[in-house]
Amino acid sequence: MPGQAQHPMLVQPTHDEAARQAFCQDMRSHLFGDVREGSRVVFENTAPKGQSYDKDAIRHAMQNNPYYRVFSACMRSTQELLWDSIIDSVERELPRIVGQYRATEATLGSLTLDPELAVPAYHTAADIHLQPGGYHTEFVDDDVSAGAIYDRAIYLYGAGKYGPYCDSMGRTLLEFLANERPEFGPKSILEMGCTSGNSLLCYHDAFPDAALHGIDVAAPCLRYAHARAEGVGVPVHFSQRDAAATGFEDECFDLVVSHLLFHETGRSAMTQIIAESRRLLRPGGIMLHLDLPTDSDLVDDYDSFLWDWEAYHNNETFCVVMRDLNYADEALAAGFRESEVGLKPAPFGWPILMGEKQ
Amino acid sequence: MTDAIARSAKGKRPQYFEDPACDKLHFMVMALIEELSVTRDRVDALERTLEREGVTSVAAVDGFEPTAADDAARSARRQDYIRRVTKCFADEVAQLEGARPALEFEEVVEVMRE
Repeated sequence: MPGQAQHPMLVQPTHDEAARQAFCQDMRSHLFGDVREGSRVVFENTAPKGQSYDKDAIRHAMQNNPYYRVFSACMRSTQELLWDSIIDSVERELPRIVGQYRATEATLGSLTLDPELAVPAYHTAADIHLQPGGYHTEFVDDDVSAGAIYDRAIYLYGAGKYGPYCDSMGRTLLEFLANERPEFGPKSILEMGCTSGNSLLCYHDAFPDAALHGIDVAAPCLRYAHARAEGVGVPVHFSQRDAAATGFEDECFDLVVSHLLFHETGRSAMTQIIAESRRLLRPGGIMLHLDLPTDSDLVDDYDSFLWDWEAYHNNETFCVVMRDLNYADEALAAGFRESEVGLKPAPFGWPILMGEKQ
Repeated sequence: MTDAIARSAKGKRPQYFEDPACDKLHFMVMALIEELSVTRDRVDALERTLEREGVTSVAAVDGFEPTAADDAARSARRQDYIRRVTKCFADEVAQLEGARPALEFEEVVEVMRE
């Protein structure tokens, strides 16, 4: 499939695998676009009048509505078929990409794994966004499959809109930072929850002299990320750490970022991650966490109901808890001062939790 | 398909229909829609390799590399296919958004009696 940037770790689909993946991409785009938006028309015309509807009342009204039920079942099935179509390629290519990882020398960056690190319960309770095995499960020795699956999935999920390197979220934060703090020049950058490193590598373009660090709890993602970064030619130090308690020293980073991390964690983890972000920042350092809109950001209750699909049907279950939170309040609860914290809109509208340590 | 990597996600699958048997049938329909799309892409590759080379083979189809124009055509056809198989959703929205409300059967009968 044209469009995704090639690198030695990226799996190469056969004709039929690519056809299957393209179908899932296009079906998902259509369902998530036109069909999802059409459900609002259905609600407005079929929900009993004369009562007010919050997102829970909307969900009760719609969950037995035939349009919404079948739409929802189609979204769920398409998601499942998408993973299955990608795993076909990864499973077939697994010996090659494990070999590629094993042959990768840490020329530019490094990889430090911690087999003793406990994978948090929010990963093991259910497979997030229905990815079989989640981010963390190891199927073979030196497994890289979770990273390989994710790298391809992210591209298809966004139908190419995340860019050839699937780094649009990273570029979003960089664009935001350039506008908000044009003079800011970090020397050390940490991405929390780096997965395949897809959002992180573009920070090298913006700050070529900065040391990049990527952490994640998932070893198969980190092995893949390391080999991918070396293959693309970007120096990154990857390590297996929990963003809630990284083990880095106090005040050792200038910039701490994450891209769509929070909604795939849990209540206490989110607070700890924000507190840990502050601990790791030098005075004058900046924290930027980009994530999904909460209820306070969304246009109306119907939007909120639509977003809750991710929690009820896509194993992004923390969304349903996180939707009631305000990121700025959470930062204050985690130890940031009021003068240090701001909630800003990203260029495409989603919220960025910004913290500047004084 | 080998079995090195898990193929299903941990976590209870929601039930979408009153009869859980319908959930299985629905999934099979979605998978069939997918397989027909794959078959159509393969037929397209068969046609294009034959047109280009005058001969085709399993290897030629497996190794088919679409040009940018081929990809655009295949993509457009796939999206049109998806629009067709999901038309029931668009039809309901169009009906609800229609300038004139849809008449019930008896109302249409009354029109016919005039």
